[in-house]
Amino acid sequence: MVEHRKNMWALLWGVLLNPGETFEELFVEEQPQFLTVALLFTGISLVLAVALLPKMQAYSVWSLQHTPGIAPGQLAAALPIVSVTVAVSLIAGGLAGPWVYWLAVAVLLKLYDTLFGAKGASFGALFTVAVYGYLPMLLAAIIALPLMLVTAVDNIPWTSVSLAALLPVQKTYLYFFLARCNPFTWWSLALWGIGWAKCAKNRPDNILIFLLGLWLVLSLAMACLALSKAGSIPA
Amino acid sequence: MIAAIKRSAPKSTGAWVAVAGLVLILVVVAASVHRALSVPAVSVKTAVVEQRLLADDALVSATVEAGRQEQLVAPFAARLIRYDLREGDSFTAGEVLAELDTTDAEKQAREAEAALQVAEAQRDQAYNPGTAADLAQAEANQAACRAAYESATDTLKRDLVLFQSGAVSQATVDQDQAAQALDLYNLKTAEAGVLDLESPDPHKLAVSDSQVEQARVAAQDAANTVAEGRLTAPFAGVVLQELPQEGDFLPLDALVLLVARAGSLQVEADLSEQDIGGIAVGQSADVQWAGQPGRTWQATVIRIAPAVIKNTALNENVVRVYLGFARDPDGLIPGASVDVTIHRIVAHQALMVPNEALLGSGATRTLFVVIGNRAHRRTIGIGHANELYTEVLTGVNKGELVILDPGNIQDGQTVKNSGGVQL
Repeated sequence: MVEHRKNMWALLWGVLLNPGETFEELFVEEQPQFLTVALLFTGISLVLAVALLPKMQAYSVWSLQHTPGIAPGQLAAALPIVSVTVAVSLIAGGLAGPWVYWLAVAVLLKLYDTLFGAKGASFGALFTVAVYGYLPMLLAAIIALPLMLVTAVDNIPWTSVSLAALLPVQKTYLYFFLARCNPFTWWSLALWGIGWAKCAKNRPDNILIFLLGLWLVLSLAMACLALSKAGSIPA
Repeated sequence: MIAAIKRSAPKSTGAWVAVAGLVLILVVVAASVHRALSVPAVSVKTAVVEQRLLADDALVSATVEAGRQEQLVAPFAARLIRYDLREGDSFTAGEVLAELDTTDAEKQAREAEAALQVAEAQRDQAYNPGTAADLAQAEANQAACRAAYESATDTLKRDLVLFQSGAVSQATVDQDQAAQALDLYNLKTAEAGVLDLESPDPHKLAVSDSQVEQARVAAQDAANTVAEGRLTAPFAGVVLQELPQEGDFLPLDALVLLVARAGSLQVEADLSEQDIGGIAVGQSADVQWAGQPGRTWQATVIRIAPAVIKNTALNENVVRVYLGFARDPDGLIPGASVDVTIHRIVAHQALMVPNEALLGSGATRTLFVVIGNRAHRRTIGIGHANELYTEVLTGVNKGELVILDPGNIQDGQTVKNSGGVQL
């Protein structure tokens, strides 16, 4: 059966366009392989982080300079620290961020499987689903990179691939909620739901509702948090 | 995703969801690209143009002063023999306010008058030295002296001839010569006497005239001294301060009275250099005095000192401002410490903008108005201004947003309002 399996690039293409069949193929073996794809994604994530590093450092400096009430002495002392902190955070996020994300999604799917499924999906299979289903979000990050690089520094907080781009910049709850409405995120949610369904040999309806509901609650809460911190965004 | 949707939903619905998802992604990506590439708007702070009460006052403590004061002093050392005025008493111009003992001065005046009379008599004598009889007598005396002289000369000539012949002695010749010299002196004296009677000596006349003038001046001075013993009012006014008492002996230049011109009260206010801006002659002011609670006197700025002075009491540099009253401020008295409110701008309704919204200088300024999300330059006419706001006469309308601290804003530039101030 090995000779019938597609290579990694075909699998990734298949996940995007025909996820049901692709996930079925992934689970032909009891121990589906995810490491190569995970390392590929991690590498891409790291490259994105490094590419974005100068811009984010510039934004951090600009943000600090526009912080109301900061004394010149404090600013001079904080600037080197901020630059180093941003670099470390971005690179660490680029390396570890995807893995943390995949782990959280896999745990979530396993939890759902335990509570509502037939408990037939292994954690390894669900981790594989999490890794492959991350592809749309990675695409969103790749699309966002040139946008972040070309936009002005003070425009960075308002640059994202989300429905918020359809509204004028504003510090309202609706705007911050729409900033969470990323079609690529929804795409990933759908892939994770379909992947669990194939893995657990179940229908995807309920898991999709579960995931979207969870995303909705999380997004509403994050919008609240963003609104509460909107004052700290330099005008 | 498309295949997944096809499998888990009816075919037609799945296709529509897939198409909708694809369209949504394209739209969102396009919008995000547009957002990222659009020129970032400049954050600006704004203020609303509103009609408000505009006023600008300068509050300062001041002192009421008599506009014209005079010190009446003793013109000479004397005893004060009449002094019946008291502080606050009014008097008219020319009224005798006090009298000094002028006994000594009167004596000196009489002596001076007598000296004048003597000088005048001597001068008259110099101008009129003798009569016609005196002149005839002098001419007769002159003729007699000439005859005596001629006789002495003839005698001397004869005796010289005789002396050469040895008829007379040397002693006789010597006597003749002495007699001739004496007769010559007498003749010269007689001729001088005739000349004096015929035309007086101009030099002697000039001396006599000067002596008379000197005596006249001395007499006039003495008379003036007597008159100065009566201290008269230089103007109608009021007594501000009385110092000696009747019967006191006053030395020369001793202060007798401090008087002020009636109706000449004014307020002198020392404004700091920071407050003097905008103060101008003609501005109205309110004066209040704790001595008359609840009363307010209307005053006007009549003069501003042209130099900054050091006020030692306040320990700061000040400019003195003088305020006058249209009519006598009944109830205010010189020396009163008053509170003055000078109206730089008389309170009135005006369209106002914060000063930091304005660019340029002079009566015509520019500012930026936010319309939509763009800045538009406007030229405006301005009126009064205070420390914070400026009155706008033309160029902007009530309710419009103006940009504070426009700095490098360009006409037509995209801006985003990051807040502002409420007028």
